[in-house]
Amino acid sequence: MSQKEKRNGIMGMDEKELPYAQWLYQIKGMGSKTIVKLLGDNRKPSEVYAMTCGEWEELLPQGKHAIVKVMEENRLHYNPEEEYGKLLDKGIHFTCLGQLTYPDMLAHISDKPFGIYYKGKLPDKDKPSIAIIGARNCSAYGKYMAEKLGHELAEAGVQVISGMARGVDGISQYAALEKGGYSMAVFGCGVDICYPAENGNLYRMLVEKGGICSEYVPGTAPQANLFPPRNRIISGMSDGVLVIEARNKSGTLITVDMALEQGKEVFALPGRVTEPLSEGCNRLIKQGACVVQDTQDILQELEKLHRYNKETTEFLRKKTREKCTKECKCKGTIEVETENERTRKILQDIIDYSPKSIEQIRIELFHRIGNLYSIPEMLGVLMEMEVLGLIHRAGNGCFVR
Amino acid sequence: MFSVVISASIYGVGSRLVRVEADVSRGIPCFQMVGMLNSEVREARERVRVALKNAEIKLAPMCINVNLSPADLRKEGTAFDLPIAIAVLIAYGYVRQECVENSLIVGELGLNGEVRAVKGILSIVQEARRQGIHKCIVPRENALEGAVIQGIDIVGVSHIREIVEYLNVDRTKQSEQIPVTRVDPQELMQLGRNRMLLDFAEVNGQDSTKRAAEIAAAGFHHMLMVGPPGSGKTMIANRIATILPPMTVDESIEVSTIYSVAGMLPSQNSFLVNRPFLNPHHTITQQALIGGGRVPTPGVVSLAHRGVLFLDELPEFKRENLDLLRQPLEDKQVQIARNNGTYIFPSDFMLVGAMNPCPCGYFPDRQKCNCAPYEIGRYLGRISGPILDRIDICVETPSVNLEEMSKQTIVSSENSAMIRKRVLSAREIQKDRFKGTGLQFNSEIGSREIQKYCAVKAKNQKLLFRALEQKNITLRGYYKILKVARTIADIDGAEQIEERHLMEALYYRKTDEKYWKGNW
Repeated sequence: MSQKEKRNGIMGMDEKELPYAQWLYQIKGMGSKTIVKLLGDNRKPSEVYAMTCGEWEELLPQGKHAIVKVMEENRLHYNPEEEYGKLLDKGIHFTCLGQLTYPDMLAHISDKPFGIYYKGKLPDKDKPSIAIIGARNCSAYGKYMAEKLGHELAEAGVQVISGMARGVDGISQYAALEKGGYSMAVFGCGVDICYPAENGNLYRMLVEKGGICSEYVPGTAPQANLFPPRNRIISGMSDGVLVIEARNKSGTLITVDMALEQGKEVFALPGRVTEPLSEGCNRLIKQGACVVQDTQDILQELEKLHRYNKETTEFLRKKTREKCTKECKCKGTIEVETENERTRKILQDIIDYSPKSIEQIRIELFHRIGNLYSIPEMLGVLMEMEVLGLIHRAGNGCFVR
Repeated sequence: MFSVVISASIYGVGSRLVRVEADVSRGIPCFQMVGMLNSEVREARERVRVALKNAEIKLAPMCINVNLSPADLRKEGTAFDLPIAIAVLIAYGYVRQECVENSLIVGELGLNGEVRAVKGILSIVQEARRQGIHKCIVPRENALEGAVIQGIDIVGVSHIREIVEYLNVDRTKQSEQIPVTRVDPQELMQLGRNRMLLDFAEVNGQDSTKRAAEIAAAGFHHMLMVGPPGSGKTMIANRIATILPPMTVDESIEVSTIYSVAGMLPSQNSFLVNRPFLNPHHTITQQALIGGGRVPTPGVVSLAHRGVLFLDELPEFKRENLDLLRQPLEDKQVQIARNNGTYIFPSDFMLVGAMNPCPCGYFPDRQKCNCAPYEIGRYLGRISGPILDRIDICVETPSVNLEEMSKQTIVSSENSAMIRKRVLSAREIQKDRFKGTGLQFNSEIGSREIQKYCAVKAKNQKLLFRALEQKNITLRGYYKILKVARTIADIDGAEQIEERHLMEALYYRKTDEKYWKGNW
């Protein structure tokens, strides 16, 4: 695509124009639409920078004239080149409409931001990407599934887009990076601010191996009203949105609405009907969202969108099948099971994804084998299983698989 | 004429003998007292004078001088009233000096001449016996308390006239006048013990927590319970004293002495039979917790000596108050320094803590709990690392729902007596093991002795090491697991620590690793 070609309603521009584009974008009160007006008729940002106030007023509609004063004042003490250099020094990049680097997918949504700031890399256009979103206060089940799907999608070469929030967001992104995949976090504050602070480690990993982007000027503090708009970027950058866990009136569902508006695929992880944290997901499924039982469901859907290569899918499918048979074989080779092992197997059956207390497990085991384990025996077996990684603690003295 | 009567004063939980000297001579009539006296001791002068007058003992107007020796020791309390009165009477010649030979006298006087109870009799009587005194004359209300100490005669008196008559009869006939009070401590213990009001059988469910309490009791490990409100933490804590081994007579005297000094011995009981159980409210002050005051008195940590100190809603306690527990937890005693000396109170207690995992109490049940992670972090952070370090056993108490409760009828709850039997046998094993080492319980095993007492065969440790690696458990954490495993093996009657013991011990370790090492 040549630079001269019109990209996204704005003429392609040289990289040298970026400092001036950034200058325009960072002006307080300047919206993306105003910038497009100013840049109409193939005007370059640097040309806009050099214009007089009168010329600006001519370009803008009557109601927007107030901004001219702000622009004039800003121009007086702002050196675009110098400030842009400072940003680069901090490892913060800027891209805007008309640039080759601006994500294609994002350019197709209706209220796209004129520019975005980013650290690390932006997602690869040729690779599929999925937004994984969900509750901040997720359950053990949500945690487990976010991690599992994050791992598997990364292994399949799918990029994970999310908001680096507590809970599902952070867990899935961490999981993707862990497996060597790519992940992008979209912030509701400046990219130089790590919010929430407890995800500091993930923040560093993202800068190194993935990316962080935001439509807000660096230094913008996290504010509640800034977060919902960033959701449109999360969905806008992805081929589909996967909801892990959401309450009925969850903020996660805002992202889903945005995704539907943008015509993206919505995936939802089913949960128990009684679980408030799965209510949102189950409702989405009722409304026609794609049910996700494993990664294959997502990959197949991506294939239909021509965003995913079938061969790879086949390969993966085979691999999982092999893994299954291998496990079966392993189990088959143990001919003589000790009593301990038999109990372990039954326990693995009893302990599922909803937390169960030791007492509950003990009673259920009694009903299965008719033999009441004493508490010390029970604890011994359970801890053994935990050490072997067969079960996990869910807190409150409860265990989950 | 000059006279001497032996009395005593309390210092911390111990006592020091004090010589009360009086002299009566000609001169301007006066009543002077010296010897570093606190105001309550100085006031004794008025009480003695009026009491003697009302007892119809007439004192001729003369110059009376009283000295309490050693004169560089601060004298406190009201126990000097009676010895001062007797010393003055000897000096006047109403009583012969040899009548009080080898006797110790304490008691407060009322204006009508009646002798009233004083604090710390147990401590004073013990000191008197140590110093080779044969007889203690104490207020009648305190006679039973003092009589618990064997090998010394206790005589209870209720009026100044009574004691004067008693001292003036012939030595051989004194016991007819007022018989020596005798008590059999063993018998008292038996009588008191039958009054156990609580029982573990009343706790439904929470079997794993009960098991943890059993181990804690057997090895005298400190214990922490984390769980949602209403899960039975307090109920279990209240019953821990019922599974601890009954106190021996010596222990009982030790504990009763502290209560006696604090003036907290119940009046109908001459001494404490059941192990103390204290659950101070979280608004407790530093002085009340650790002991204090201008004249230091024992705090809650000392009153819980040889028993259970239960701190409910642990994070609600002020952080600085909790940190005060570090010294008693480490040294098993409290030192309080004042300008007239350092007071030492014993405080060898079992700490039982209970807390919610978050401010609302329901974390990690996200259906009920909406606490933000930083709130939870701050809540947990109120308990400092050094305190956590000293807690060997940490368990989570799951919430119990009623439906399951009805299903659980197949599991019959054990009663306290059954559990206590196992605790006792484990204690016996520990007694044999630590003979002559100065240690008493597995919880006291230090890092130096751990190899000696908690050796585990390599093949039994494989799984544990795997767990340690997985969860980043520190060396200290590992030692704690070993100590608890030792206790579990003792309950089991096993000589060697087996894998199953280690695995169970691991369970009691993981909870605090989870909450306080940021794994939630």
